[in-house]
Amino acid sequence: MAVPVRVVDYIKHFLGGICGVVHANIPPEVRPEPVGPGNALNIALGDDGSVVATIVAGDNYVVEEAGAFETALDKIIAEFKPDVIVAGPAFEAGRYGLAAAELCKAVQARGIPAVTAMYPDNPGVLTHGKEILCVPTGTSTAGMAAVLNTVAALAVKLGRGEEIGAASDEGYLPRGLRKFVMRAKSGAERAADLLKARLAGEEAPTEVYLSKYESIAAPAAIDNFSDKTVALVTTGAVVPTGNPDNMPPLFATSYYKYSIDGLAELGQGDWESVHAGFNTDHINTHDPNYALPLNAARALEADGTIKSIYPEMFSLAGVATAVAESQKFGAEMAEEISSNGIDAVLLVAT
Amino acid sequence: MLKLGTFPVDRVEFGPKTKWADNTLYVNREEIEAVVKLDERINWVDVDAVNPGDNTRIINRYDEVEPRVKVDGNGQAYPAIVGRDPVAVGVGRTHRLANASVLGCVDIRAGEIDDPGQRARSAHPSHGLANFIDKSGPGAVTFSAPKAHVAITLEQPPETSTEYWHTVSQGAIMRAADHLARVVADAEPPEVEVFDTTPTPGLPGIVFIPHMTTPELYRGPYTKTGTTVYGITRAAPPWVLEPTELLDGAISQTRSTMYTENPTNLELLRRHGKDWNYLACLAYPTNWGMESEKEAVSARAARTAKMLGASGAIVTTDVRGQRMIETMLTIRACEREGIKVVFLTEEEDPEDGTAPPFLTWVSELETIVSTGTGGWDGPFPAVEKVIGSREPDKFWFDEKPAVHGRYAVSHLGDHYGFGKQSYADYYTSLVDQTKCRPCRTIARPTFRLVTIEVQVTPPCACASAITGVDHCLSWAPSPWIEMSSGQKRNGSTARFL
Repeated sequence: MAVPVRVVDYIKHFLGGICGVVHANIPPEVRPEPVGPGNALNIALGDDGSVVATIVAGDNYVVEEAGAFETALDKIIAEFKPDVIVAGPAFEAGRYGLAAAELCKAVQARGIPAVTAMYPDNPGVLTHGKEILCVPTGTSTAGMAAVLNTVAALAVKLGRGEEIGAASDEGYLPRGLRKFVMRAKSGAERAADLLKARLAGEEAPTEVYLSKYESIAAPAAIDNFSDKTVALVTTGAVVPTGNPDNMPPLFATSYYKYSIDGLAELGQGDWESVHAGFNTDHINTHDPNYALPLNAARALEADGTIKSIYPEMFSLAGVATAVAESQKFGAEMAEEISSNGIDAVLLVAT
Repeated sequence: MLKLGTFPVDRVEFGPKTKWADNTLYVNREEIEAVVKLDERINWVDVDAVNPGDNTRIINRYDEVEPRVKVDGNGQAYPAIVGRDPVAVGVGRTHRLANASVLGCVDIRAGEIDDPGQRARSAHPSHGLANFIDKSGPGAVTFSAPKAHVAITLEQPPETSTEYWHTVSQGAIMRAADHLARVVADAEPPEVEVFDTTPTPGLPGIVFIPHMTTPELYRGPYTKTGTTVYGITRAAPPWVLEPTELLDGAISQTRSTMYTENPTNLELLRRHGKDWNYLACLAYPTNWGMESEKEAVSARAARTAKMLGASGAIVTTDVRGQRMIETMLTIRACEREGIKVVFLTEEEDPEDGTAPPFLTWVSELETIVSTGTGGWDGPFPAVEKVIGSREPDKFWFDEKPAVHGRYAVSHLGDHYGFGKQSYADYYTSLVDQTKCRPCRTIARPTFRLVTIEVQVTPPCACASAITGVDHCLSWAPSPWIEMSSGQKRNGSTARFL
């Protein structure tokens, strides 16, 4: 018979009977037994695992006193020798969720697996979602029993070093790591089955999980450009006619810079677009400024609305661009732009 | 109502007389050549019989057409293209040679590129390398792979544009398909399936909304090339089609078999009267340039579905690029009209978890069925025969590399769910594998035997402090092994605390 997996459970101070926000900064207390919701977890583990200790800590402590917490963590691990750590479930509680997520990461960095549970919109997921194994919950603790069953099953597998299956089978939140599978029915049959389920108001589990967009805060707006330098950036693949640097028409591998110093406009016949994703005929036979409005920008420069246009423009073909590459180009361009006294960017996005 | 009479074809063989017998399509090769060369502009054609399992690779596919002929009811199969009868079809009786197709291949390299998008794309070294059909081996996974073909190869001559040569190519393909279909027009089909979409009271209404790419963006609204609905290719508000119209080829060209045998259309049709009333196929040809156009037409698709009485829809798209925007807008508009949507689609390669599955999406999107990335690892072994060009480049005979499924590069093009392949989210360990948990892995006296593989690592700091321990049985990735203290393993002695 398999030896029961040793589980150390982390719960927030409140659930350990230490009440009040005023105690959110208390250092962790370790009790050699299940406490609070850990009792239900212990039952869910059955013969396959047991909660050998519970860490009761203030949410704020875990997040704000990270250094001291990690030292305490090392001692706890040495004393109780867990096979796996379970943190939470935190449901909708934001600070609890963040603390649980940070605990999971700290434990994983020490070679011990961890699992947590919380609502997918919890800051713990939004901030650390890709780095934790998290069971999604609803907003209400009424779902506790079902959540703990899923958590317990994962904890046992993690504790035993067994392989964890697909997210849809095991019940954890996907991290965007997807791989090829063969299913039992064709796509058309599965789509029809799911449509039938949705029409009947039954559960219709999706095969693709969509996470929230990363939200990028916009910088403060500029009211007055008369003392500002503006750089022109285009994803319209604008290049000197003949494409001397062989800019690829799609699947961009880098971005390019071309001098527009002293040019009043992009002259027809001097510039072209090699973009593969839209009809470039007008740009290439009539007006390249359509993909990079240099003539309009110069007019604003001439009448003092803008102080100056940066003498180089940035260009690449923005079609079928890998996400990781896009992030890299953006970061590099931003670095170059901010270190060259440029105040704003006019981006022509295609 | 449409009755579809099926004459199954397992093999195509050349023979003295063109006929169907014993699930074999016998073809008089000279007749096909003659029918093709009725157009005097065609100087050269090659005709091949290609069967599933052949050691053959097919390139330069221009269209694949299953021979179908209307024996009763208005109109002509594959209406309105290349001068055919433009009357609305989908009613009466149609005969088909099932699992057989005319596979028209056109080598366009000598012709003039009259499409700026094609000109730009063909400048990229990877252009066109994902487009081929293997008939045997582990790479024989496309929709065409199991079919038996009469393959017709043509060449586009120099100083001709694709627009001009299209009528020649497509016309030749249709003449060949008609010639073959005629042999079963008067025969009694061994199988007949009746498609009757009369609504049954009490069942929910559903629609199928396929978004289809149009070349209008590059070629203008009058182009005859690309996927057509009744011969019309331009972007349009959705065509309201009876599902049986697809069975008669109302949507055609480029991959006509994907529409006559559309897996989604057929699945919905076969469950009509049981799970739902299949009200209509709202064919949505698109590449609207402006956001406002996309919004307006997607709203129209949803409102049309609502007016027809739909409470559910399956939505698809045949290109994963910019048209994903209007596809998502259609999904949003439908859900907001109270129409529940299932989105059946390919997805983008996850790029090790850094890339999202779609270029864009809407919060209303709830239910998705994925046919994978369209990529395929293969392998695609070297082949003896390549069809689709008078003199195929040597590299087409060689083993071909895996096709990735990134950014609309798709070998399978499974937009309608013909296959069982898919993608799913999985787990990779988040645990730092270099950290052996201090003194804990070997703290137990016995372990459960699972495998005999064990990772043996140098002892961690705390274990090293104990004399006599020269190895730790490390945690990751493997499970426990059964040992007792002093037992030898891998040339060293395990010790236990």
